[in-house]
Amino acid sequence: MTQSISELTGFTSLFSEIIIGIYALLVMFTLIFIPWEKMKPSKGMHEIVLRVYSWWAILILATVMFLLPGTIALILIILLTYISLREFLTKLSVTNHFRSTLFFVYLAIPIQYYLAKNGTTYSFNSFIPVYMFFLIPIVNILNGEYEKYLEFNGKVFWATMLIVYGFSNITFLIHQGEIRGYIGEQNLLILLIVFLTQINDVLQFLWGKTIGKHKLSPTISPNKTIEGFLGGAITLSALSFSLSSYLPFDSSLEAAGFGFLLSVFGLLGDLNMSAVKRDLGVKDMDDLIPGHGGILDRLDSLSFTLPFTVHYLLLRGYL
Amino acid sequence: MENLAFIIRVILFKGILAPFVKIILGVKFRYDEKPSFDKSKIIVANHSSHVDAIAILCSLSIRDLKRVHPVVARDYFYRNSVTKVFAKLCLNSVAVSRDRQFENPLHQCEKLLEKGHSLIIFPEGTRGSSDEMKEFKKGVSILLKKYPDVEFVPAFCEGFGRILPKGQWLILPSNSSLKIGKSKRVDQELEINDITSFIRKSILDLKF
Repeated sequence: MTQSISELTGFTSLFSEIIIGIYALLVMFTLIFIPWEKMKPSKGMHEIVLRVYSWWAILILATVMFLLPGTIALILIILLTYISLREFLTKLSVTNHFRSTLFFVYLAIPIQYYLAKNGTTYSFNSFIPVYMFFLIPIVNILNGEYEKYLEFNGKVFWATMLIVYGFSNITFLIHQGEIRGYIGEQNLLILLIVFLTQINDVLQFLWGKTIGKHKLSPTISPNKTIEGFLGGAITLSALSFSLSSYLPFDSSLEAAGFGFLLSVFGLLGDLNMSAVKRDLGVKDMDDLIPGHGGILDRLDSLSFTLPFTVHYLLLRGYL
Repeated sequence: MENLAFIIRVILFKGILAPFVKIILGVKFRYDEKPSFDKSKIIVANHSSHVDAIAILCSLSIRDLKRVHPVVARDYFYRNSVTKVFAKLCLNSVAVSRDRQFENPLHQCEKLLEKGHSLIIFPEGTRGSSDEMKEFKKGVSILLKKYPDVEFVPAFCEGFGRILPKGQWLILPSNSSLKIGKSKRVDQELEINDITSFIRKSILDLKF
């Protein structure tokens, strides 16, 4: 079956195996959770069913993205980044000031994606953290205004870092993620990172529901528990361990350790977006997907796990 | 010529501007009721940016692009031939003069309403700030009193002033929405001034 799918789609055989596995898992989830919600409706269960629907949407969208020619997929990613950044920036009241600076902030998206595709690792990793960090205040200085200067610089730079830099890591991995012993499998790495990050959310939720007692962060996200996090992190380590032949690491043990760290950063990314939303006083970032919030609401954990993955690979010398 | 202009409008509004307004500018469209323009109606909205007229035109169905006309100021849109062609061909607009050059500035509007066409009117007369609504001019009320069968559709444009503030050229996305209310009929017993404040209230009611 994997072979015929590989032939049909041009996916590598490893990639086909994983994507079939993910579809099978999601079919299983759908068959378990939807009847469960019908029989015993509760708020938590309703949330899960909504998530199952949005995973279907994400998975089908992701499959289509992997099937499309690289340029079209790139344009779609750029568009998604733009919509996320727009969702974020239009929530900020400071964006009524310094309008011309905002233009440069939006302009950072195509530049960053160009660098992610064609630039050096240095330019990709420094354009937003260093160059945009100085460019935003410089344009503001040239405009000669100081009202809300600090607030604007901070919030807008932060949004750019989190969204534009964060998501451009996908493109960087696809186009420049030539890992020794793993050549040509960049799509598989992306698929696995997205899959492991999403499954981590579920695992932490399920462990928290079953054995969770001690609140992890009562102020930011009261539903998260220490038991949920530990259960999720250990399960994810085991899962990464068993998937180690699909991951680019030298040893299975390292894959397990990577899984644990991924779980930590997934949780932090989730809490980060919750804190952002609490500070902004909104429940969801947008209502693009009815009942599910905006793009950023779905990609909260990924905004941390993607840069983490790239930097893990860089620091360990894989890239 | 008429048909060519219509095709240009369909391509422009349905093909280019509607996706641009929805995806790039992030304008949300909310309808209490999708208005039908089989009979003459007047869409009345507040005005804080050029984008609000474009958004209202984007909200129309293809068929209605033929029979809904925004009312524009003659001195502003007919100032040179480029804007004039744009206003006539692309916006399908009808011009009124703000400086009472003509005996009855609403003559063109009346002709269209009698033909069964509909109008979009911004009774503030010019683009205001996005936070405050200016006083309304009386034109809409005069038309609605003269044609008792014509209903009006209140529309509220929220946050459009921040997309393209008056006097600036840079278009940026903003937290903005276009709310279209239920069609209403005005009470013929009312005086012109009372009709004006009734319309104004209907638009402000959409704010919340």
